[in-house]
Amino acid sequence: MCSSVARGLPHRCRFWQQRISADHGGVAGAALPFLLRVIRGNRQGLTNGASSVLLSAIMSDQQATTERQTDSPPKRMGLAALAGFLMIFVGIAVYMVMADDPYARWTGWPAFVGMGIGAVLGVLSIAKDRRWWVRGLGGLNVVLLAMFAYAFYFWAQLPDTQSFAALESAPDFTLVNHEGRNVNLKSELTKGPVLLVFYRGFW
Amino acid sequence: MSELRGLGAINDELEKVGGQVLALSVDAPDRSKRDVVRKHKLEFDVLSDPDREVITRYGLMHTDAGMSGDIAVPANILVDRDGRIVWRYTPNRIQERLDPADVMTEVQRLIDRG
Repeated sequence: MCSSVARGLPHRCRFWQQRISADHGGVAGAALPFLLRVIRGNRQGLTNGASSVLLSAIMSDQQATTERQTDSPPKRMGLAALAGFLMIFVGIAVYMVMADDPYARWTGWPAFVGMGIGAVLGVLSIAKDRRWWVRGLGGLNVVLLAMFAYAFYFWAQLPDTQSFAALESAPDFTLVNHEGRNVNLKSELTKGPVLLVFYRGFW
Repeated sequence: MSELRGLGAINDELEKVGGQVLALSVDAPDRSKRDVVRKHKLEFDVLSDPDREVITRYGLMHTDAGMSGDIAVPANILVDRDGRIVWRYTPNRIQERLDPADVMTEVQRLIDRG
């Protein structure tokens, strides 16, 4: 009992226990281990509160798994996890094909539907199959959806264009056109109004 | 490329009063020619700004834009004969695209004003 508390110092612990029992009889000898147990419990509660909660959750989960195991054998979800993984790429491919449709492009729904199915299949695989590669693949499906969503909303933000917003007149320029001919904005404007379109090119 | 969709009709409308659409990207001229003239059959000029000089002057640089490097923030700028910017548009996200019908409305407003 005592050695489990002062694991590093078992002989000293035993020494105090023996000495107390010798000097003050059975009452103190029984009280010391009890007291130490209370202190130990307190300390764990204070410093490892979160981890003990997590530990008990894991243990109850393990218990549940063992109970489930005795009721019905774990399902084989390998194909579902793989199908979910493929759905992620189907979703991205459909999104790329539909990128010219403004609504699909803006919301990204084809990609999110495909990747959503993939993530759901991934979660189901993790829940029902206990093989490591099925759980890994299922987890990967969920991670890929999260990464895509992050890129879609945050990485796709365009920089602030304050100096552009402050422009009142169009700065003049001369650039070469697709036929290799020079085009000057000012001289083109003498013929009529111009819609200038800056685009990102190549994709 | 999808930024250039629907701009043919707007170019036609501007040509009625002697105007035009001028598109601009960081692509080299041969690349613009292949993509825009052959693939999309556009009838307006597509200009090359490989040094990002004009893009920077307009305050439209998107530095280190993912895998694409330094490219322009997509923008539509309607300029009248005096060089004044009468209407402009820039999206907040790269997935955002302008409805060509909105551009047409602005072009017609400018033409009506004379």
